[in-house]
Amino acid sequence: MQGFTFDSPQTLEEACQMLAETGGKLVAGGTDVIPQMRDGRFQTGRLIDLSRLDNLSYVEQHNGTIAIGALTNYTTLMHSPLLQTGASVLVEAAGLVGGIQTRNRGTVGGNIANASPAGDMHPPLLTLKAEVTLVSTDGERAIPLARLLQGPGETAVAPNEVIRQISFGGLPAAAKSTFLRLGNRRGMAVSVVSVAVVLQLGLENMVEDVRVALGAVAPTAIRCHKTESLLMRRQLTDSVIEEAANTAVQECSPIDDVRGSANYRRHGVKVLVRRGLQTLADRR
Amino acid sequence: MNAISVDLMVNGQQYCVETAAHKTLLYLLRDDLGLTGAKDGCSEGECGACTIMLDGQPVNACLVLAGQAIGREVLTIEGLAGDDQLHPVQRHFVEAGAVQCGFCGPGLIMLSVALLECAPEPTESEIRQALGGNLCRCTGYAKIVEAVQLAAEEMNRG
Repeated sequence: MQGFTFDSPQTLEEACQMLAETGGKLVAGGTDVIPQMRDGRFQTGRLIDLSRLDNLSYVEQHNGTIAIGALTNYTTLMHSPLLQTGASVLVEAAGLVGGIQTRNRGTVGGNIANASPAGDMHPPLLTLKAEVTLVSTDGERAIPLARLLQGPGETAVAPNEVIRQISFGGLPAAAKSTFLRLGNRRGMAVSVVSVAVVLQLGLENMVEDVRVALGAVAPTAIRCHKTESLLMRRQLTDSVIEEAANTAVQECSPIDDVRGSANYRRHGVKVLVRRGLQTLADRR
Repeated sequence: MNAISVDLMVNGQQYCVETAAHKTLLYLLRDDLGLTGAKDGCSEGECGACTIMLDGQPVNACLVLAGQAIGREVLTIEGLAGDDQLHPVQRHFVEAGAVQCGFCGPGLIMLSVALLECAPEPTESEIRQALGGNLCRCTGYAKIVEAVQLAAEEMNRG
């Protein structure tokens, strides 16, 4: 791990300028970048450190839209009152990432940029229909997260772009949400399967709104549109939940890898989707 | 080699260190400052043996680049004890039998100190959850948890 210069821009504009002039690898919390550099997963001549950009760490609300700065770390996400009421699924997921030490450094922007198929911020943000704002010397653009994630380690972020912000409409008070995952260790575990569910029930447990997203069981995190269509405007009974869980399994495409087999992951999807829907149905 | 100049505070003392740009804070502490309490257990932030406080927050020093520590305050295990006595968490680790080979000790002690600062009366479950980012190969964790509980009791009494 050597052969690079290290620069700490003091502003986002400066960072974009550096990228435009020479290119380089961005680093914030370093929890993915540093191990990957050690592994030789990439080489760079210039490391651009974003950790001085304090003004990119925030959780704010404007007219019902919640905006999170890309450099907000998991600890800050977990303790945000705004997120606890308007996006509790994200708070639950943030609390399960790594351990205390990694949560104090890792950032939501980094989790997106790294684009691990198992990235724990992705399923919750997909259920929230999040949009990502990218900035460069060419200007600014917004793109839905679902389009930004393109494959394992692949995003639509251009080499001269920096992720600035993630935003989404805060969940209405009547909506409930949860995040569940399986990992090989209680702490510091890359998710083997993860599920995010947002659910809004009306009279007699009729589904008024539902979003289901899965992580670690496809090249990127995915929304389960078939499962959601199946559930919409139906009464959420045990058998409907079972149907939904089975449909979610059909929507995923897991692989065998060092952390688990495809079969185990399919089983995990079924169990966690069922559990997630049941938990939210029972929650008052 | 790309050089970098790092001004930082460690254990209450100001330092200016000329070092390599690719160096992590862990090796700046160990090699440039001779503070070998923080250990390199995995080099990838999985084991917690390098846990130190950065601006009051526990982090893995192996995942902080030297340049990211410029202008910041670091507390290591060497800075924990007072002039003539150990910090209660240190003392209880020793007395409860939570130290065997000692390799995981500094990291666990720093993390436990941080835990007790924000949760002075943690349950056993909360302790185990909080220490989830640290590995110990010797003790089986029971004595570590006990040490943290005993330290919490003493610190709440005093």
